[in-house]
Amino acid sequence: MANFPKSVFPALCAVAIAAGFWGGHEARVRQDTGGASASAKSIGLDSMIASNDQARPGSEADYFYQMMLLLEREYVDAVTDESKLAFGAVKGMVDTLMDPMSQHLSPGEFKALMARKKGQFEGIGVEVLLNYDQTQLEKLRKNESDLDPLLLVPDVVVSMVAPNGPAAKAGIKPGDRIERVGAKWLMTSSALIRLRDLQSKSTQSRAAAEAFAKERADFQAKFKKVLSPARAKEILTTGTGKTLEITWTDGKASKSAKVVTAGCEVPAIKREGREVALKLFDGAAEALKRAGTLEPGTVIDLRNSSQGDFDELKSVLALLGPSGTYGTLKSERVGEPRTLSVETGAPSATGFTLKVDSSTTGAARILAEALAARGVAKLEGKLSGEAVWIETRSLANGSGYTLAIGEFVPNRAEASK
Amino acid sequence: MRTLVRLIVLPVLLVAGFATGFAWRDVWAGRPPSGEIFGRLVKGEPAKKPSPVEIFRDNFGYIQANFRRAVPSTKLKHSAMAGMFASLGDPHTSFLEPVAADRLKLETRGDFVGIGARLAPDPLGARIATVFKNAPADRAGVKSGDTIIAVDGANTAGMPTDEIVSKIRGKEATTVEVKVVRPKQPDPLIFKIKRAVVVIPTAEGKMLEGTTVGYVNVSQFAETTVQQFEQALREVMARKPTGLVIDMRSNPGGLLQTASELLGRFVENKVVVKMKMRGQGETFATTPTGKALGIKVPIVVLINEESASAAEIFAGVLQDYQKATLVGEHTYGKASVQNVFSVVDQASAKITIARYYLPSGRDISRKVDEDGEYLSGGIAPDIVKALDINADTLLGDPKKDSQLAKAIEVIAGKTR
Repeated sequence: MANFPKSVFPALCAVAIAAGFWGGHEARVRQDTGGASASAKSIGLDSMIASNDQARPGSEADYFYQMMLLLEREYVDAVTDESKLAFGAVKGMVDTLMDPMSQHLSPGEFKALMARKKGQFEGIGVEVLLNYDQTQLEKLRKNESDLDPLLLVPDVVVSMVAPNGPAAKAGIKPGDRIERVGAKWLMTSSALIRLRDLQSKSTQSRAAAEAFAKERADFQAKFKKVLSPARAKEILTTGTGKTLEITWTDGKASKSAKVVTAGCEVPAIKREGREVALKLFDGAAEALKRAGTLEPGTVIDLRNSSQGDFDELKSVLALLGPSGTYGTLKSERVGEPRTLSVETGAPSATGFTLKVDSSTTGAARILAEALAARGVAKLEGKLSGEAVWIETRSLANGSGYTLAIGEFVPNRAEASK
Repeated sequence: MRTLVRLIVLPVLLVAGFATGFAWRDVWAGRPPSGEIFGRLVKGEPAKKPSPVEIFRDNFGYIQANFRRAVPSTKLKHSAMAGMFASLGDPHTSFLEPVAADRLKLETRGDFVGIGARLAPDPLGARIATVFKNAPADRAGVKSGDTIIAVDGANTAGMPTDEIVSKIRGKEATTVEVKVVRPKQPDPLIFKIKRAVVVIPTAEGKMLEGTTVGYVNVSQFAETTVQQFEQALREVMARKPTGLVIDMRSNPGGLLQTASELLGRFVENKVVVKMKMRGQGETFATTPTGKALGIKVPIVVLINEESASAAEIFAGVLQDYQKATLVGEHTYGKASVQNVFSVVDQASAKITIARYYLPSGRDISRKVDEDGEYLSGGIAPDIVKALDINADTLLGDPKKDSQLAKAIEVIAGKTR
């Protein structure tokens, strides 16, 4: 056994403590940052990790870690829940995308979204979108100088109405814009712009100036308390048993009604004679199967069908259409675009009619385009807007978000084969 | 035997050192070390709960790899930071991207070239909250209550106030054209104003015309304010007024030390503010002794929603020690101190590092709802009085300032 000289032992003790401390600290940092192993984890469905500016997520993660440490060290209150910081960061990222299809959802909203994917609605029984002016967003992205900041206020637009829900009973229709919820109004680009136009005319005549002064006073009174679009969305889509005074417009006239929030269920398919109203909820494919073979000439009503479930879309496509590649998802990402394809499709799929209009959005819109491009179905009515593929992600605290992956471009080449 | 003890002591110290090092970050962050993270270390299995960094990295990677548009990684990173800072729920803790950080530096520098007016947000542009006496805007005839609708011919509707401010500021001796609307006046007015270096007098005193009441206006709490306030107060008190009005309206605050000095003119050796800082417990600031002026006449302090920070402390302390009656509207409710930290890539982190409380222990911090609308906080006035804004509203003139008129009425009621 070694025999330490007297002076060496305290030194060894100090070294042991220091080495232990250093080792412990390093081990903690590795634990916190997930070490090297986590950074190699592949992300995304088709494992397409492509970044336009060659940044490795590792360096951003380090930045995040440093900022988190700074907050923990300096903030006046002890940060007791670190994961809250991370969830806040995710919300920050999603909010900055300013995309109507890419939305952060609070735990309550996320739960409501997952329920809606099964056809169970809460709130006033609607799906809503925050619609930004896309031309202005493009200008913002490109840093163009003629950007009009007034146009960056999103509209809260109803994209789907549960047929038997409170909103439907009040007369709210898909495409309507929500103007007021409860005591608070939603600020709109159009209100701001009308005011600005009046202002520029106000120097031309005394009457114009007076009109402007009056409008301005009304404006200030009306928008003394404003409701944020995100909050309006949450109020409209969650909860039950609350009475809300709602004002909405179809673009021509405004209407108001007292609406009581309530739960309601919308079936994935509703068959009336040769016509089937289809919503791409979870279980839609199963319900279609149970309904028996759809004979040629069946009319499928895809109107008033919003986001839906994109996994279900694939199952329904396999049921109605033949196998093959239906199209690609166009995006600005580098690399092979993702494709929408069906491996084993319906053997003898022919001759459906799809009823569509501007309320055919989300998964339903992609289904319509895919089937029409393959010649399986013909469209009755006019689609509008973009066909965007949306993915949904959940976070550990119950919140989550949707992300627009790409625009669906149907594969017309295959159709001509 | 001794050798054996020593051989045992060394590994024990090593393990103890390791454990301390491992838990250090929790101790440092002011929370009990988590058992879960120790468990992860020992078992070596993936945790049930991902760490914050994993959550961030996972979602950052996912969004960047899958969103339909290309998002620059710096932008995504900075907005993540903004979201993280916002998650604390403190309106004064924020992450400033490089551009915003630059603007902050410019505005806190103090001396600037402009027209000498303080602006408040308005849907049409900016409302003029205060016009500094003898500043270019004042000489040109701009009045508080005017709303700026255009600067140099460009419409300002919907423009953020900061942007309007930067349009108005410019090189010394150049001219800026400001178009304003004035309440009850249908035609907009156009002012051509020559920019000049604006020195903001932070404390001014006078006797109110047609009354026997003295008036001291304090526009902010700078270092020089102490001397200016002392002088203004002495001049006013020399005129033997029957009452004193101290105007703290739209005073955004400043140095707590200044507030303490100013309060020393009214209360001696009293606690004015309790401060709570991380890892330091409570600290107190007390007023100096031997500086009180022994003012016996009734005092009214005017406050409004733009009275913040040190101005709220000033009003609140006089209220707590029953030295003054507060008239006006509730104050803003800012009871915290921020520090700005520079970050490697020119961004800045503005973080609340301390909170303060009034001597009575009341917390005045502002509470807002999800939409940022005021719920509670600030100091409530003893007598609520809103400012009537009309064509000839002029702060500091008892005939044109309804809150000041109310203050005089209160003083008259007390001296009768």
